[in-house]
Amino acid sequence: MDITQIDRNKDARVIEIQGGRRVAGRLEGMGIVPGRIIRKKSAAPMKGPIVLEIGTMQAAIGYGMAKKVMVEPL
Amino acid sequence: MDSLVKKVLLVGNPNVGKSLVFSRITGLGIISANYPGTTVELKIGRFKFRDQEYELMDVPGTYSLETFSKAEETAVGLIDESDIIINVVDATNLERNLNLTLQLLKKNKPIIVCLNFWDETAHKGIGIDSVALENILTVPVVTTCALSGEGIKKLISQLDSARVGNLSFGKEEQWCLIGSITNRVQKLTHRHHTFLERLSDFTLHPLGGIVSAVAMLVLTFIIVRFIGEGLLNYVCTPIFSQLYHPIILKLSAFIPVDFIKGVLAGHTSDPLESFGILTTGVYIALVLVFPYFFSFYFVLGLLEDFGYLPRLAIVLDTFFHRMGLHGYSSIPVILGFGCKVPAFLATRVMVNKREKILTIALILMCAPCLPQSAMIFSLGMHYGTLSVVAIFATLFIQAIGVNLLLNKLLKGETSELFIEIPPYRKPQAKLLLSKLRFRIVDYLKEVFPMIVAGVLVINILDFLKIFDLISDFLGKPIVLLLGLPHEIASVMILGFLRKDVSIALLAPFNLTARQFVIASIFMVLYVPCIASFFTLIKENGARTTLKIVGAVFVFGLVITSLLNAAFTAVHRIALF
Repeated sequence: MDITQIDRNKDARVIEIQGGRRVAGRLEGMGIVPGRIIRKKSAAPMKGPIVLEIGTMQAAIGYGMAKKVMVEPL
Repeated sequence: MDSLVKKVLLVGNPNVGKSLVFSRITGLGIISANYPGTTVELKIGRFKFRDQEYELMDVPGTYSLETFSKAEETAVGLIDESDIIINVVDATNLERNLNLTLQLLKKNKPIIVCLNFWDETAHKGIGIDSVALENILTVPVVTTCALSGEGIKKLISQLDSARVGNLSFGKEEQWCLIGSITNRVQKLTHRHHTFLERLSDFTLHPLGGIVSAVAMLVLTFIIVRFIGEGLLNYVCTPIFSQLYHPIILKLSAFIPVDFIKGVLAGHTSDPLESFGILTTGVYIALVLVFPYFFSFYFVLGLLEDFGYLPRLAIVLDTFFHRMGLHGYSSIPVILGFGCKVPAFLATRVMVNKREKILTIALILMCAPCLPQSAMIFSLGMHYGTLSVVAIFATLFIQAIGVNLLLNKLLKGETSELFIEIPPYRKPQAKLLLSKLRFRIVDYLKEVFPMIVAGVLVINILDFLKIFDLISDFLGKPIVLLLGLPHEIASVMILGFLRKDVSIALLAPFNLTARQFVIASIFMVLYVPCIASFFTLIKENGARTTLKIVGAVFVFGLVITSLLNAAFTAVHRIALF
């Protein structure tokens, strides 16, 4: 499943990033890489951005990009 | 003793406080804010330490050296040309920052790591063993707090011990290595959610975000009005009318040459109608415009330092998406309400050209710059709140409408939002005040002389009867389409030089409410001011700029003509 399908305030482990080098590279800059545990903080309504917590830092990514982050719930 | 200037580069993720470190080292006044696109120009400064001259360059923040945007490309190019690299790291986000650090180590340049925000690690329950980190990375590590200045001296003194790292690792191992380093040097102790953290969660919550955005905008409006009006009524106007103006009038009585007397002090005692550079010029710049300028930048500074702006971008993102943009664009647009020059500079970070053009069009069409807004407010309030609301509502509606239209016409995809959310920080009075002071000095140096010059130009044009010539030429279309007196033509030409002045100069013409509304809307839309016009050309090239500006002009003319026609129609109907 992808991160948009995870419940709010739940942790998940990143399995794979779909999409090309560009998407993976940008996400990597934020520390979203396979093996990392991230927490979904909230999701804006109407397919808005998803707020994630990675370690001690928070970031928001667009819905389309979030759909490419494949995770397994913890 | 080295006689060559050493080139030092400040490299790091966005939001790590590089700009503050820069200004601490060089002593140059700098604006720092924590939303993307703040550092868009390369800031260069010089400093000296122990007889060695250094040239320090502040590079736009980047997450990695793999080239995904202009920011990263620029950084890579500069790194190759530098002598020493200072890698500014956010100590409260060690893991993510180490990604760039490791990439920098591979560049084989002398490097020194600066762990900034060191004071915040204690508050957040993060303990980092900087000595251990130094041993692992094999390069010097200095802890700093750029806000207070602690550690900066040590950083400068250690510049010469910067060395090339000795750490070898493969690309695949990189994240494992980051993980293991973090595990070895960082200890997290649990502590309760602070109030600010709870507030952050609320402002990012789907519903809470919208509530707080609306509240924030309303609050901003109220505070800006309150401080602006307060300054205007209780400080600037009394000083002007009871102290300054009488003195000028008395002194001008001694001037023998009538023409010079007219230019300097004007022909009447009403500061708005006299057109003297020392009366009208000073009145407009320091009494009408300055209070709002001050209050807007005061509130903006608060929001910047607090960290609210990226959250606003997230909340507005969905809304902006409908217009083919995303929340990222909200920040240039918001900047545009202050001044269009930094707004256009902020669009530099937009990779997607289509979005960039749409954002620029939006900025041109819905965001009158602050001095202009202040002017519209100040003068418009004489006609009543309804007039002011009508002006801004029309601008808002047509901006969205035009953007939706452009969105359909221009082909392409909208890129995704991708933004880091810095934690809320208590704004520091010292930093806020120095930012404000910097902006005020800027205003006095740049805007004030231009307004005075504008009044002088009007005087000269009037004397040379050029006004009458221009009015005759442009007057007819304006009278016909917009229902305005044809003398306004020359004011509109001045509007290209300075938008704020042009609105102010409407005052002597005694327009009706309807005329004022139409004139204001037209003068917001028709052309950008000369400063922003040239900024656009510099950033986007002449062709693109002319296309956008031309389109906006046409839209502006059409909309105000339609508005005028609508008013006339309503008037006729009312007469029945």
